[in-house]
Amino acid sequence: MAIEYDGDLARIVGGSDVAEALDFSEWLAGGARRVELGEATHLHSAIVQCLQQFQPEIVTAPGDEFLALIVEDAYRTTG
Amino acid sequence: MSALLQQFISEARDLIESAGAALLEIEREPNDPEPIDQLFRVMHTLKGSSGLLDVPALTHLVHAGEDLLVLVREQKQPLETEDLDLLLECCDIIVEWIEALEETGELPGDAASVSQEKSKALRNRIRSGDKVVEESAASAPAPSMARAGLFDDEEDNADDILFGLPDGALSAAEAASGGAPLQAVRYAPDEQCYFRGEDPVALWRQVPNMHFSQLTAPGPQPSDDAFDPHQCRLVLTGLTSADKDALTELFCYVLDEVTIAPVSAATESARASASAPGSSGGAASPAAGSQTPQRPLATLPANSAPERLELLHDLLQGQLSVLDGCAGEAKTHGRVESVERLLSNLARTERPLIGREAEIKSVFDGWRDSGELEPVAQLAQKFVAAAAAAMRGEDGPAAGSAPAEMDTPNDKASTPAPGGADNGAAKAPKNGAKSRLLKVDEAKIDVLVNLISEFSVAKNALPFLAKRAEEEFGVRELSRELKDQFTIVDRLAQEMQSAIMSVRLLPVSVIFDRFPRLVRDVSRKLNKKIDLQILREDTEADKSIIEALGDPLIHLVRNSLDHGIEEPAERTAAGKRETATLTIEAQHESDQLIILVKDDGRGVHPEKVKAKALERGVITAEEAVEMTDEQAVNLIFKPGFSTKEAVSELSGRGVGMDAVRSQIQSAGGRVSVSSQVGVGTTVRLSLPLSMAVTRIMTLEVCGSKFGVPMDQVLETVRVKAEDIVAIKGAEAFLLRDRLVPLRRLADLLQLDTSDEDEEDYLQILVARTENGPVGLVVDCFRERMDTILKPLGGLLAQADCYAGAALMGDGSVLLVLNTRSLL
Repeated sequence: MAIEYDGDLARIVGGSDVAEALDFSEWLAGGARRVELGEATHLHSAIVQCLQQFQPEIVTAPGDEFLALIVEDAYRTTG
Repeated sequence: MSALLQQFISEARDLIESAGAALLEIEREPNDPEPIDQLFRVMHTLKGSSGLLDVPALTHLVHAGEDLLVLVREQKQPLETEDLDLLLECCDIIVEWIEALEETGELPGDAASVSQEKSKALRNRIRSGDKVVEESAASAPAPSMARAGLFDDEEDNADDILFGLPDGALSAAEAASGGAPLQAVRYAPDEQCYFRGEDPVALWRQVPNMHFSQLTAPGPQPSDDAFDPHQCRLVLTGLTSADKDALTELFCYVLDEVTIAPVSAATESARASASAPGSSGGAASPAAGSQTPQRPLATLPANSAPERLELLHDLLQGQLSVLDGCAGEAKTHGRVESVERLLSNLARTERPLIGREAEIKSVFDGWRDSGELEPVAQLAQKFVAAAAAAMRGEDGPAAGSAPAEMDTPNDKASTPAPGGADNGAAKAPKNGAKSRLLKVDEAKIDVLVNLISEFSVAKNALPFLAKRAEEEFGVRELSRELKDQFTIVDRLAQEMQSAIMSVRLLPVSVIFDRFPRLVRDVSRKLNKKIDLQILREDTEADKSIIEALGDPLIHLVRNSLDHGIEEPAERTAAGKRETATLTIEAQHESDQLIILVKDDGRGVHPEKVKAKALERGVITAEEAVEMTDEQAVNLIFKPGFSTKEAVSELSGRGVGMDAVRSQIQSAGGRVSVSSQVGVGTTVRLSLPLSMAVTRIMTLEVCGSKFGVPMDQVLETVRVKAEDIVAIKGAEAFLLRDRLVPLRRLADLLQLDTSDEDEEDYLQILVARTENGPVGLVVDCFRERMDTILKPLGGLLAQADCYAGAALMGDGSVLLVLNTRSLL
């Protein structure tokens, strides 16, 4: 699994998958959360829309330029 | 096994079955687009659902099949016989893989290499389409391109996209592209796209030469509680200098969800909106990115109510279609909730027309509680009717001036508006009224069947207890009450058994559906032309009977194709149609399932059969002389019999028809054949509708009790001893002017009759046999009862005069006779 949970922090490493979206959204719904995206190589659309919905604090932005723009847009659409 | 895998296996089986049927339909009707669409949908769905599991070999294989079908569907290349063969072969492989997944949770070890080989073969069947595509684009828009918005109205499409971009996006992209022509692209994925294995962000990443990209949502964000991560809510918009063909190729699987238009086609105002910094376009600021890029209703001029109402009407009608698709489906939660969200949103903006949010919430709460879709469908239909009624106002009334009844939509539920809303009005209640289907593991049904079967037998103890109460303990009153109670329990048990058994009823199509493919393949091997007719495949019988039918029917069909039906030249010489007809038909006859396999082939020659039977010692010379033609042709069911000299790959090993008879008899059935030389042959299978519980009649002879299955009993009669006649040393009696042979059960079972006195009247059970009715003399008849027949073991297992043994209510064991073998 690409998403590692550590308390209120989730770290996405490598490519995330749609199968992780439900757990991720439930975790995000649980309160103030922080997410590290620095090592993410791909964010599945379902993961992107979880970020878009719950807007957790981004600790590190994706290193991948395309992903960084996608995440930025995801935060902007409801921001 | 995970629930997801279990669900996949169940769905994949249905999908592949559906694919097989579609392929055969395509072969029959190559110009009908429907089976091609169906096949494409199957491959697409299978690709998506398999993508959720770790079965890449399967996903790659169906993906390759889908690639081929895309071109066929777009009429860029025909589906040829070789394509059909290959696709059918792939379906067979997938069936095997599904079996393996069910058994081991994994695909077979060679799946990857097989997938690679077959995928390559499928892709080799794909023609180099560039030329074809260019030609079709030059003459007329290809369907996919038209759907993709490439040719429908480029100006509108380009305007729509550009109005949705933030300020300065276009000028920035133009600068970045170095003056290359730009295409505006909008990708609005379907909400259910994740279930098809799609990942819009991943696809978007592959757009070449992207100079501007924007991710938005198709509408307001849902509340956190209502948020469903499996429902896609993303819209991707961009400007690229890639050419149209490259984009069309990239989005070939989702063309319905993509709009592509050259920026050059946009109006000046749209270009200015997306170019000039600080201009006020439809999505003027980044924060407005949440607005839909499509032209919002709110931007319509106030006096354009008809257009607005038409849009609203179409939108609502679309919701009816969504609900229509939910009827009878198991997983509809997300879809119904999306309808709810849309109606709730419309209730805020279209208040006079759509009604109150509270009403909508109440109806959908009801659906959440009960699962009943009908009220939801009625509500949606009511809104469609309201929008249709408002549309008919020729003066272009504002939504707020819609007819008064729209504010009280409940009143209109039973009186839908005439005109445009009629179709929907007729549709919604019908859909809502559909019963819901529940998928249940058949093992659970089997447990229920076993329990009710045991119960049906256990209740038989009550009459014995009543008898003991009266005879041993002298309590007649208790005995009477026990008998009364037994009557009630017996009725309830029969009703329960009937209800439970009805759950196990399956249509014979479960078996019949395999024959189009089998006949196709076998007839090709044999170079014969066959027109297969399948009739009344919806006839139902118990699962166990349907399962027992499978192998015998396959053998009969193969036998007919191999031996019965002539080659085309022989048929033509005989003055017959070159194409033979093979009919497989099912029907109910009283409590029996009848299956007929008929062909118009050469027929079975009785004299040849007799000669062969004589040669092989199956019959004696005397028997051959006395035998009727009908009896002669039925010799083909005798062990070791075959008239075909050469043993073929398909049939003709001489054990087939005997095996057919054994299998059918094991299921409590009978098989017979009738034939006319040169005209054709009909094989008739007759089986009970259920095997779980056997109703028997008990009888006594020489002080011993036996049972006879009721389906072997024609009737019971009492005949005067003096009316028994002797013919050629055998006994017979007249039954309604028909001479019926008579046998004495005591003699047949070699029981001691020394103490028996000849009665004035004989009790006779008239048994049903393959050669007609036969009377069986017994001492007396006893009660009838439901039993579970258990096969006999040990030495008795060899005695085929017994059908099995049954446990009686008093704990004793009853031997049940098989009159067919006995007589």
